[in-house]
Amino acid sequence: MNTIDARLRRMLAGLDVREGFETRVMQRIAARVAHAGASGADLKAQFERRRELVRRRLRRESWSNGITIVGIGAAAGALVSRYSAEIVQWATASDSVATLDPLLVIGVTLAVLAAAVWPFVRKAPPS
Amino acid sequence: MSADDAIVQLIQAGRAEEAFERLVPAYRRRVFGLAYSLLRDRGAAEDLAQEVFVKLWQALPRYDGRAQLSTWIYAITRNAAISALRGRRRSISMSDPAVLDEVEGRGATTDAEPEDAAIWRQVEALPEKQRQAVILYYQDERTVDEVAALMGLPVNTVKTHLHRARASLAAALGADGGSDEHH
Repeated sequence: MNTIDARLRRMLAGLDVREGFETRVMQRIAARVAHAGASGADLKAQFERRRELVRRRLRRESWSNGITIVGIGAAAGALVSRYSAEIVQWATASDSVATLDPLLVIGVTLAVLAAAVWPFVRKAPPS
Repeated sequence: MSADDAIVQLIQAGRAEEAFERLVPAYRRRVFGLAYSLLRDRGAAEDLAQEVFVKLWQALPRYDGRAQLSTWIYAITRNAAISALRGRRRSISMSDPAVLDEVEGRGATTDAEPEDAAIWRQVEALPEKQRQAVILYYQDERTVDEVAALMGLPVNTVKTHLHRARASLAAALGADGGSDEHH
C-alpha cells in the first residue's frame, strides 16, 4: 500500500520531541523559579535600601531643623535680653501698644509662631 | 476515567504538581505536533513546546474547568506559536537568501528518507491550514475529531482541508491520493 496516506503516515509517525524532553521542561521551570525568586529578593532589598536612605535623610533634616529653631529662639532671646531696657521704655512710652486688644496680640503672635514652625514640623521623620 | 479527568481531579484537589507530572507525557506529542505544524521547524517547535509546558505549570492551579483541558492547552499552544511566528516575521525577511536556503533544507529536519523528500517538499508547499491538518492527522494516527480540536476548527472544515491536501499531493506526485480516514 503505497498511497499518499501510507507515505505520510510513515514520514510523520516519528515526529516527536528529543529524548529527555520532560527533564528539560523541569530544568526550565526550576530556572524560572530561581530567577523569579532572585528578582523578588532583589526588589525587596532595593526597596529596603531606598527606605533606609529616605529615613536617614529625613532624620538629618529633622536635626538641622531643630538646631535652626533653637538657634533662632536663642538669638531672639539674646536680642530681647540685650535690648530689654529699650523695649520696656518703648512699650511704656507708646500709646499704640496700650490701646491694642490683648487677645489680638496673642492671636497674631501665635499665628506668626505657627507659620514659622510649620515647615519644620511637616518634615518630621516617619516612625 | 480518562487521563484528562484524572488530571482535572488532581488540579481541583489542589495537587497541581502531581497533575502536571501526568500532563506532560499525556500532551507532549500533541503540543509538539501542533507547534511543529505551525512553525515548521523542529528545534523551534520543541523550544515552544517547552515554553508552553512552563506556562501550563504556572497556570495550572488557576485552571477552573470551564473549558475542556485539551481545548485549554491547545489554545495556549496555538497562541504561543502565533506569537512566535509574529516575532519571527518581524525579525527576518523571507527574501533573505540565507532564510530561503534554510526553508529549502527544512525537509531534512524531519529525518525523512530520501524517497520521502519529494512528498515532504509538497507538504511544506501546502496552504497553512492544509499543511497543519496533514501533520496533525498523520503524526499520531489521530482522528479527524482530534485534529479539529487541536486546530480549533469544525470537523467538516478539517475534513475539507485533508481532502484538498491529499488531492494536491496526489496531483503533484502522481500517486494514489486515496485515504483510510478515521473518525
